[in-house]
Amino acid sequence: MSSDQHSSAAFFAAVSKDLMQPGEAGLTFDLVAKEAIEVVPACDHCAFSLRTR
Amino acid sequence: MSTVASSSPSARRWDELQHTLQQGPCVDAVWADDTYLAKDLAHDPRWPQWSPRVAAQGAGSVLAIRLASPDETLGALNMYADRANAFTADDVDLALIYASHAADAMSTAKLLTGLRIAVKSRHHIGIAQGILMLRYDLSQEQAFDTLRRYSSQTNIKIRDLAELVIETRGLPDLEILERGDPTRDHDADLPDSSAQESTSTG
Repeated sequence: MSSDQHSSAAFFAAVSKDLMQPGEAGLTFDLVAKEAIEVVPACDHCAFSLRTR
Repeated sequence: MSTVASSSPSARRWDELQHTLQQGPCVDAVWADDTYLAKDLAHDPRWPQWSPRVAAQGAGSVLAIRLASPDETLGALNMYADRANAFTADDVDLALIYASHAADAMSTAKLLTGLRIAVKSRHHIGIAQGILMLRYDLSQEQAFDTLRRYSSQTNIKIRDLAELVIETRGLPDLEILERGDPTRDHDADLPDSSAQESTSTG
């Protein structure tokens, strides 16, 4: 595993840990939408739509 | 589908417009293919009603990714960029990995939320059972059976009925429930015939 791969793995491990933190549906949805902007450089806005049926 | 989270009012508006029009990459990501990238919304012919409207409002490009657990499709994550051709191949890769982690977190959170509600409901049902046992001299099983029968007759979820029993310290009157006014004096209440029937089966 290269150092780039190592740092990517560490980065996403931290992201995953952050996303697991709330442990409640509504708060997790909010966090997912907000953190997407930090993770994906091109992303300026993010929304999550839930399937309801 | 419904938009439940957004990082900005614009993102919420663009998502909600897809649900209203029933077209757009978010809708397709849930019901058709997993991932949609629209590099230039002003010139994308796939969603003829939606794309021009959001492009006019400042959306340049969009990447929509289905989020799913092993058991179900949760929804779609929709990433918008202000300019056209914003998403590179690296951005798409990062977004796909992120979406995978997001789906795991959402699935876990949904499960935990459901379990918390279930535990709380069971606790309330237990209290309601205790109230009925004391008030009407019923066994634990008879008290639960009474709750179940009332729930069935009134089409009120058993957890909501349990909260009513806790609030009123007795069985709500069926006629009052039908009129939507559960507040009244229950001092003279006795278990109805369904509770009496349950005695014979208990």
